This record gives sequence, C-alpha cells and structure tokens, in this order.
Amino acid sequence: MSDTFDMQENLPRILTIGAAFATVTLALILLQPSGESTADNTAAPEPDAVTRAQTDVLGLTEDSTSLLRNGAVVGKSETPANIGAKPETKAALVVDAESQAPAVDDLTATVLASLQAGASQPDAATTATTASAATAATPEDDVLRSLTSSVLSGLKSNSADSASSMERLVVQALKQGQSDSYIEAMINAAADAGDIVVPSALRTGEGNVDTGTLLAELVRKSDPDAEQPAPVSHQEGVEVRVVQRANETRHYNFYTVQPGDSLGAIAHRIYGDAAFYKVIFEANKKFLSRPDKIRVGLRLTIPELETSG
Amino acid sequence: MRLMGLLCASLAFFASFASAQDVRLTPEVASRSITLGNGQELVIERIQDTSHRLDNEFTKTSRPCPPFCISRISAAPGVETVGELEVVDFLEGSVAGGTGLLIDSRMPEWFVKGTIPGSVNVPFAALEANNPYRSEILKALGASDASGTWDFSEAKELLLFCNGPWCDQAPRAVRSLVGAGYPTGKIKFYRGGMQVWMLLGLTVSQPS
Repeated sequence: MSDTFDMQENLPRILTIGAAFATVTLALILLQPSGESTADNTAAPEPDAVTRAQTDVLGLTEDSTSLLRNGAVVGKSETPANIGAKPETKAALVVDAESQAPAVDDLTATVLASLQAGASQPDAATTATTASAATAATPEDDVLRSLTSSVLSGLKSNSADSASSMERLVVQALKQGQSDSYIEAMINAAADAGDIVVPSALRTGEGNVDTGTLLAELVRKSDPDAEQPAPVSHQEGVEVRVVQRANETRHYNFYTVQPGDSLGAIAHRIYGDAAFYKVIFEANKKFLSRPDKIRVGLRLTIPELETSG
Repeated sequence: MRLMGLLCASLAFFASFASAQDVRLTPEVASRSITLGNGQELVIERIQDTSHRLDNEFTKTSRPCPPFCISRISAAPGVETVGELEVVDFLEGSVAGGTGLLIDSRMPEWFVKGTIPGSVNVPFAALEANNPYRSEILKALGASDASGTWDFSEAKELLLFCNGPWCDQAPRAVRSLVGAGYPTGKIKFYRGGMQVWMLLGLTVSQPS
C-alpha cells in the first residue's frame, strides 16, 4: 500500500532525473570528440598505407644494436677490401605504390613473400613466430661456433691427431702473406679434396667456398672491439617494404641472391655477422633444403632480428 | 680398575672399527688409480667422512618436468647403459688406452663446476644436427668422411653422462650421435650422472 503510494509520489522525481540523464548523455554523444572518432573507425576503417622505402631497415638497426649491447654479437666497423661485398649502392627498389590500391599491394606483397618462401608466411602471427624462432636460434649459432671450438680444443688436448681446420689454413696463409686469390684457390682445393670441413653457410650458389666472408669473419674475430657496421640497405638486391597498418608498422625485408653470394656473405652484409646466416636459412627453409643450396636470383625473406628481452 | 680396563678395551675396539670402516668402492677395492695417455694421474675414491652430506644443487628432488624428466635406462637401442664401476673400468681401459673418451654432455658452465675425472666436455648442443660445425667434432672423435660417406671404423668408443637420471642431455647427445651414423656399439651411457656420482661421494675434479 505504502509502496504504491511512494511510487506515485516519486514518479515526477524519477522522470526528472531520467530526463536530465538523457540530456547529458545526448550532449556527450554529440559533443565528445572520442564519440566521433569511434563512430568513424567503425564506419570506415583506416586504409592501410603502404609505402616502399629504401631507407633504413629500422628494425634491423635497432635490434642488432641491442643485440650488440647485450654482448651477443660483436661486429666490425669496416668491410675489408677482400670481402665479396659489392659497394655499389644501387638500391633495387623503387618508391611507387602510392597510386596502387593499398590493399592489393599489401596482398601482393604477402602473396609474393609466400610464394618465394613456399607459402611460409600467410599471416603476421606466423611471420612473428618464424622470426622469433629463428632469432632464438641465432645467438645460439654463434655460441655453437665457440662451443665447437672449445670442444675441439678439449678433444685435442686429449689426443695427438689434429685434423687440419679451414680457419687454421687460412690464418697460416695470411701469415705467409699470401694473396686472397691464392687463399681462395687453396681453400677450394682443400675443400674439394675433403681435407677440410667447409660450413655449408660458406658455400656459394656456384658451389665454391666463400673465402671473402671467411676472411672477413676471421678479421672480425681477431678484432672483437671494432664497431658493428651499419646494416646495409642500399645494396644491390636489398629490398625493404614497410607496411603500415592502423596500429602497427611491419617491415618486409627481402634480398635477391647475387652471383658469388653465400648465405654467410648475405648475413654478414645485412646483420654484420656471418653467423646470422641461420636466421635467413630458417626463414627460407621451405625452399632451401640446405644453407649451401642458394641460387642466384632467389629472393630471400630477411627476418628482422628481435631481442628476447 | 676392571672398569678402566673395559673402557680402554672398548675405546680401542671402536677406534679400530672406525679406521677399518674405509668408504671403499667395493669390498675388495678401496680406490682406483689410473694413468691416462697424456700422463694425467687420476685417483677415483670416495669421501671418507661417513657423516658427509651433499649440500649443493644435487640435493634437489623436484626439478620441474619438462624439461627435467626421468630418463629411461636405455638412451637408444643398442647403446649400453652402465653404472659407476663400469665408468671407472672404462677410464682404466678405453680412456687410458686411447681408444675411448668419457664425455661430459653438459654445457661448459656445468662442466667447469666439477666433473668426473678424466672426462672431456662435448656439450650435447655441439652434437645436434643443427650445428654446422658438427662434422669437425665427428672428425675429432675419429670418424672420417674422406670417401664421401662417414666412416666410423676408427671412431672412438664413447661413454656419455650428464647431470643425472633427470637430465636429458646425455641421452640427447646419444641420439644425435646415432643420428649422425655413430655406431651404437661404440656408445655407452652412464645414467646416474653427476647426481649419483656425487651421492656416492666419488671423486669430482675441476677441469683445468
């Protein structure tokens, strides 16, 4: 009884409060900028802006520097003259695409990458996984080299036999003041005879030993305090695609294999350390059975280095 | 006076008992001395303090699995699993004779903390197929690929171990070796590893 009475008495008050609330809400919807943008976003999603930039490989620079800071990689500042790296800065990319329908270009890039990589990169998630997995294996590979060296030295202290090592041969020849071409011939002959073991990363597309990178690596190791070379992006065969979405920027990096290239050489040029060939190999595993199976003209996906920290 | 005599006798008895209670390897053998091919002298014996207890990493009972899972007795078909005395036999026979290697499969940071005397460090990771330099190690183990295919006829006998029955590193190294074509008859596995070795108070050496 009293309830009904109360209700009736309060009804005008309730209505007044309700009206006031509705007014405020309406005002908020009409005036608040956030309300507008939300409406905009749902109505017309921001178009994907696609640009092709031949400028810096941002991710690469940042990440390899932080890797450096972590002490995982020590690079050298200059590429010696004897490395096979070509100094021509003829960027193999063109700034275009403004006219193209962005979505189509994005799709094309992805499809091309997928085709090249044997359909290994259907979406961002997979790419990220591949990249991080490969990166995880990368410092490890540098570790593997030193691990192997320490194992070998440990085994040698136990036994008298000393298998001739490629690096030792090269160092010996360098001490004798031999020319690069002599070293190249000697290493290739020793490799053909099976006297030395050539890491598959140092096999060129033509099946020769990439002595240029080998020498550069030896120099790098002998001078670990030298600075890291700036990652090269203006080089022949290097192609960078920057795909910008509403909330993220993704870099697609590609490298087209040039005559005389080995995976080690490419890694040396791009990451400043031949040991990173593994990253490239992992990212292109679908169409590279072995690291020494690269072919001239092959377009390799170059993952960005990521730090786990 | 009689009481004093009894006391003396009992003291003498306990003293002689204590000195007779050597912590031996076996009832017959107190310790083993081995001279390796490189002239290194090894003595394998047990800690003589009968109240000694482990107080290090190896007292843990419940490491999370994975990755620290209980390994099977057999590391691979055809690979013999051995115990501590066989490890010592192997050191005395194959290692001292230059035909075998006792391999610590752990990573170097563990190896340097202490290992079985006479062992060499070949970390499991160095034997994985993804190590591009693995063939150099296989060659150092005595294998040869001069004819284009791997020839293990001159390869050394290997005895592998790691941290213990909860450690997969030695079994993993065994699998990698077998995968590379290493003959299973030339591989042995000491499953007890460092944990059981140390639990028995056996000699641990710091690699130089």
